[in-house]
Amino acid sequence: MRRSLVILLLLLLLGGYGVLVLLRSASPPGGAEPGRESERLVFYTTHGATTPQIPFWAAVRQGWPRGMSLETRTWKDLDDLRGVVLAGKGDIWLGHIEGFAQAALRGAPVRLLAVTGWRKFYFLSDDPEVKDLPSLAAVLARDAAALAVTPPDSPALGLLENIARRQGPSFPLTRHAPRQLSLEVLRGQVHHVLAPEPLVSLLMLKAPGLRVVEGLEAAHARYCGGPEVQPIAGLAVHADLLARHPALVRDLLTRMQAAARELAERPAEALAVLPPEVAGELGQEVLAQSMSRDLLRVAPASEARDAVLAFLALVMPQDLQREGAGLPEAFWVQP
Amino acid sequence: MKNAWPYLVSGLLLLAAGWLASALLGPELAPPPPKVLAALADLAWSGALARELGVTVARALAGVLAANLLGVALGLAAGLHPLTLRLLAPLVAALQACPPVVWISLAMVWAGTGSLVPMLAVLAATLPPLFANVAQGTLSLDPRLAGMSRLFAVPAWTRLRRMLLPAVRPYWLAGFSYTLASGWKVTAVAEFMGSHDGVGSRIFWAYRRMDMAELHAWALAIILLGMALETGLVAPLRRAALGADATPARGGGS
Repeated sequence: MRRSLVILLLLLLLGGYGVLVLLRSASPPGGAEPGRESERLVFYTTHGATTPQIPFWAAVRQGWPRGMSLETRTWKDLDDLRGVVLAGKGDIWLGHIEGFAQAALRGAPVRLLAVTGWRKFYFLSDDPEVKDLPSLAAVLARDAAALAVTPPDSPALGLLENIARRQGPSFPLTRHAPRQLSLEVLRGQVHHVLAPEPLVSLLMLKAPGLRVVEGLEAAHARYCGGPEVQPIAGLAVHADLLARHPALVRDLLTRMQAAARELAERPAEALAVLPPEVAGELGQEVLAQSMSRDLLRVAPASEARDAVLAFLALVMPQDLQREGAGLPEAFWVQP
Repeated sequence: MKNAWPYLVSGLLLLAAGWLASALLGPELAPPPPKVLAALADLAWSGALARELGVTVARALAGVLAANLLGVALGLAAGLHPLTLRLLAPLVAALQACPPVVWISLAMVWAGTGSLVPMLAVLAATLPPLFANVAQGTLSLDPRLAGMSRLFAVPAWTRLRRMLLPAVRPYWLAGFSYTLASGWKVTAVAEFMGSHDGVGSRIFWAYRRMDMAELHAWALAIILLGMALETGLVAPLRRAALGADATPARGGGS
C-alpha cells in the first residue's frame, strides 16, 4: 500500500511538472508588447530543413510579425504535416509543395506564399564503379539490386519516371520509410539510395562509404530539359491569416526575398539564423553538410506558378487529372 | 530482501540481453548496456528525462482522467437503462475492437499535432472498456434493491453513494487498472506519430538521427516507467478489484 502511494505521488509530481512544461511551451514567447494582449501566430515547421526555412527565420529576426507573437510547432513527417494542414491547424506552414496542393484540392484553407526549397534529392552509392546514372543503372542490373527510394511516396518518383520516359536510365525501385532505410544502410543491406536532404547528410555521416553520385533535379534537367531546380518545398499560410492580415503576409514575403538575396552566398551566416528549437535535433554537422548542397532562393507563389504546375503534373498527375480537379485560384497568394 | 530477487534476476536478464544484442548486431545498432546507461544518465542530468517523462505522464493522466469521468457517468447511465445498453452494445464492441493507431490517425486529422492527439487517443482507446465495465457493474445490481429504494423514496444521492457506486467499484477498479496500464503506452505511440515533445517524440527523433544510444536510453526509461506503474499501481488495483469482487455484500451493504 505504501509503495503504491509513493508511486502515485511520484506520478502526480511528474505529471504536474509535465503540465508546467506544456503550459510554459504553450505560452507566447517574446515579441508582444508587455501588458498588451497580442495575437499569436503558429508556425508549423520541421527540424532539419535548412534553406526552405532560413528566409522565414531571417524575417523573424528582423522583427516580423511586429506586434504579434510567434509560436513554433514542429511536424515530424509528411503524414504529420498532412494532418495539420487538413485540420487547418496553425497559421503558417513550411512543407512540401505537393502536400499543400493535395490539401488544397481537398478543400483545406491553405494558400501558397512562396517556393523556398529547390534542390533536395540525391542519388547515393557506396560502389566505386558508380560514377553517374547510366553506371548506377548498370551496377544495379549486374547485381540484380534495386535503388532504394525514400520516403515511399516521394515526389522524386515522378521525376524518375519522367527521366525514364525521355530515354534516360530507368531503375528497379524499392520504397522505404526513412527510418527503415537508414537502418538498412547502417546494416550494409542497401548500397544505392535516392533520398532527400537532410537524410542524405545524415546517412553520409553514419555510413562513410556512401557518396553523392548526382542530384536528381540536375539529372532531370539534363535528360528532360528545364532548370536544374524544382519547386519542392515552400511556405504556405492559412486562408484566415491572409484574409485578416494581407499586409503582414506580404511583408513576410518581401522580407524573405530580401534575406535570401543577402544570405545566398554566406551559408554559415545563413545557418546561424535558424533558432535552436528547429536546428537542434539533427545537429550542426548534418545541417552544415545539408546546407552545402542546397540553394537559398525565394520565389513568390505567383511567379513560380508555372514551375509549380509543371512539377505537380509530374509528381501528382492523378490528383490533377481527375474530373473537376484543379487548384483553386485562391491557392496562389497574389503580390 | 526476498522481494528484491525477482527484480535483480529480471535486471540481470535485461543486461544480458543488451550485451547479446550488441554482440550479434554490432555496437552501432545495439549499443552495449554501459553506453545506454551513460546516455540515460546524460538525459537525466540535462533535465530532458524528467521533462519529457513529465509531459508524457501529464498527457496520459489527462486522457485517463477524462476516460474515467466519462466512462463512469455514461456507464452508470447506460446500466440503469438496459435498453440503451442493448442498443449501444454493438457500437461499444466495435469501438473496443479499434486498435489505438486508428484513434491516433483520426485524432491527428481532427486535431493536428500537439497534446490533444495523445489525450484524445487515450480517451478513445480506454473509454469503451471502462464504459462496458461500469455498465456491467450497474447491471449486476440486484433489481430488488433498486425497487426497494424507490419504494422508500431514498434520495438519489444516497442511492448513488450507498448502492450504485459500491456495486460498480470492483468493475470500475478493473477498468481503471486497464486505463492506467494502457494509457501511457497509447500516449507514447501517439507522441511518436503526432507530437513534438514527450518520450514518444524523443524516441522518434533519436531514431531519425540514428542515435542508437539515446534511442535505447529512452526505451529503457519508458520500460522503467511502465514497470513502476505495473508493480506499484496496476497490480495492486487488480488485486483490489478481485478482492472487492469477492466480497459477499455486492450491491452495497457497506
